[in-house]
Amino acid sequence: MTSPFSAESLYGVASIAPSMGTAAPTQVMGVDSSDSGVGWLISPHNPLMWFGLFLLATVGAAGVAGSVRLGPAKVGGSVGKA
Amino acid sequence: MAKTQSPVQFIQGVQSPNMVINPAVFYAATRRMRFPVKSATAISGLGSSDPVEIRKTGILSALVVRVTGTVAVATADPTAWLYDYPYNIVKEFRLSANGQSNLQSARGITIRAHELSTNPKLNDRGVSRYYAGAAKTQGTMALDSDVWGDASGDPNPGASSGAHAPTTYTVDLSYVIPVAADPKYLVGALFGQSSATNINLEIVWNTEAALVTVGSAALTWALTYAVDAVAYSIPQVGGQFVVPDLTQFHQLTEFRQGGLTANDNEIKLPGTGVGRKLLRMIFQVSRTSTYAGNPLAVNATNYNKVAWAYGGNDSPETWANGTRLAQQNERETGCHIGKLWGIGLIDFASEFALRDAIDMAATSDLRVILGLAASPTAGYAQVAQEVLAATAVGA
Repeated sequence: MTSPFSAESLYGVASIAPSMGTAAPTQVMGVDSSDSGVGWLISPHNPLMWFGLFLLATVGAAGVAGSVRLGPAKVGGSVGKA
Repeated sequence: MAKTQSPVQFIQGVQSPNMVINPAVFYAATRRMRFPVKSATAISGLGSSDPVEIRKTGILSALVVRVTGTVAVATADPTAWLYDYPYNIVKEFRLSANGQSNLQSARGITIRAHELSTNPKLNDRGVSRYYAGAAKTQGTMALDSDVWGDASGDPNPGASSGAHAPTTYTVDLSYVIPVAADPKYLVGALFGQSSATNINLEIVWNTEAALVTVGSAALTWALTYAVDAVAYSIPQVGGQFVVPDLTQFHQLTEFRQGGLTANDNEIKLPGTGVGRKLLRMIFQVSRTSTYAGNPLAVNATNYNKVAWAYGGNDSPETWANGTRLAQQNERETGCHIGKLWGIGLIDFASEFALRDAIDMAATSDLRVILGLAASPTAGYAQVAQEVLAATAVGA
């Protein structure tokens, strides 16, 4: 409103009330891909990755085994050196 | 051919016929109106309240309330008049409009102090009134047309009327309720020209115990009240109804803060937020001593600092002591409002509102700092804030 007699001109108030009907982001949310997600887990800058490699070299790849018994029947399976 | 309807429009949340906002054209074409909305009527009683529905006409700018009548003291006993007498016979003026429940909520003395701060033609002109048993010509905040404490022994705050009893005394007071923030440009005025409009003024009467400590004989009150409205017609210019800028509501709301101690008391203002501009703060500190509600005079003896602040500790304006603020207030209001009634005023609007009014969106934790030299006995502060609020946000 440009009238010299408007509330905006006389008191510096906002001439239009803030809208409560639409949601607006309070700030722009930027995402830095370099330090988030899976990329960071396998990054050479991540000490956890080197710790993982160290465990792999000393303990070896672990195997997984399991079985289910239902009455007289038994179902089982294994992967790796179980 | 299908009948066409004029488009529906909302002004201040009320459905209205199609109108054009053009303040300059409105001022030239409107007509000022003054009409009674309540003729003199007996009050429902001290400690009770009277609701008044305002007629649905035009753009409402102000309400003028007159309270008059008599109080009879039956026998010559030491009836002690307290400091809520006479202005706070009205404990609270409550104005609600169109679902905005708390546009105005202030005591009688705050309404009078506000009028002194906004009406440049008004000052107390050395009108003599008895206060605490002595004649005072400065700081009474009285109009000559007010009737209270006219002579020694009349009911006057902080005094006994035993000497002159039994007598029937006259009381006459008038108040201007500032519906619009600006009676000239009508910013903050209320749109009343709609059947959907509902503007109500509730006058809450103080209790007798707050006004007077009655001796052995009961007092007989016979008070009446009358309300006039000042409104402006909505003119039709070139086939269009024209209104001024009605995007704002005007609020004058007051609250009480207890627990005051010596030195800085930081009293936060409630309801700060986006879309609100602070125009004035009015405060009064009272203590309970011999006469309840005794106002703490705004001077260097009682106040070692007055300031307002926001955020962490941003304090744009500071007065070194109460006397410094009282001196400024006397220049602003034409009345030594801090002398007898202990009123303090921080005015952001009278000189140049566009420059000085406080944007409450950018001042979080807005507060007034009352630095008291000593902890008042059972003391409490009454703080009023005058705000312009965007209509969709409202009260």
